[in-house]
Amino acid sequence: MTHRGPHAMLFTFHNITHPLWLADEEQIHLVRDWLLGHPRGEDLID
Amino acid sequence: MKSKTIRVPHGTGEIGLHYLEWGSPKAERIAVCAHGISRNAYDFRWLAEGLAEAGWRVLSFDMVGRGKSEWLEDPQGYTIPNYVQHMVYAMSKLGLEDVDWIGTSMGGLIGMGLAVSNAPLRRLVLNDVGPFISSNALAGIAAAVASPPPLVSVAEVSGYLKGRFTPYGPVTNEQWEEIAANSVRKERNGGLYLHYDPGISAPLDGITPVDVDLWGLYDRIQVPVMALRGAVSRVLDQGTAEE
Repeated sequence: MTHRGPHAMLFTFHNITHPLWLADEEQIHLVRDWLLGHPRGEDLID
Repeated sequence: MKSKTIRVPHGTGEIGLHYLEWGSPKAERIAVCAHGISRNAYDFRWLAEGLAEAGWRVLSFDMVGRGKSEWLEDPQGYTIPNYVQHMVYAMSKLGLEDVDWIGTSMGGLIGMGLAVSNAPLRRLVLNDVGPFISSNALAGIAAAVASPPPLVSVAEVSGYLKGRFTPYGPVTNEQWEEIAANSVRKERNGGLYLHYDPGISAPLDGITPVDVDLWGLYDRIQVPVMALRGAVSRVLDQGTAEE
């Protein structure tokens, strides 16, 4: 989902308050792929 | 993982900033991680390893007053503008260019400050923070970091952190143990304390929290932004996130 600002993307993780640790594989891959310029199609992560 | 320290100007003197580093110093991609208000550099251990495996050099800093960084003599200096100045100097001194900034909560606010300060950022990841923070959220944060309890054992620290942070995303038991072991300092009397200066919330003491609106600053950011959010976040509300 695109948002206000240059190339802003929002990713929401369900059922948690705050993805504080970014310690699980799903979260690590999400950040890595976005930094590489390859955001995935979905913006809601269970 | 390497443990290093850099001295940065602060006031009329200087202060030691500790950081952890992963990956090759010659890596073409550079990521800098910055933690939340009462956390430390070790929080990014797993993400940093994942990025280092993919070719990044990753540096994760303990902001002053946290982790293994030095504490300020005057706790009124625990402010976002000071953290931004520390990081501007540190990145310049270390020769970091085209930096992917990954900031959790307070670390994201520092990243926003850097992004509008001509700092050499390439991309900006804002983890559970955005350009609007409600007064209620701020009050909750200030209350949570004030007066950290004395703790007797690492197991007790682990229990305390689990009680406070369990809703904050998937963490294995092994990871909890590591987080706990890296969240404490040992005093000469043998007691364990959380790793941060209780004075870090001093600038908020006695002040009635008000909403913080940084949309004017956010709109000046020119680099791509990724916002991460927990669906039941108390800091980055749904309206702000969706805007």
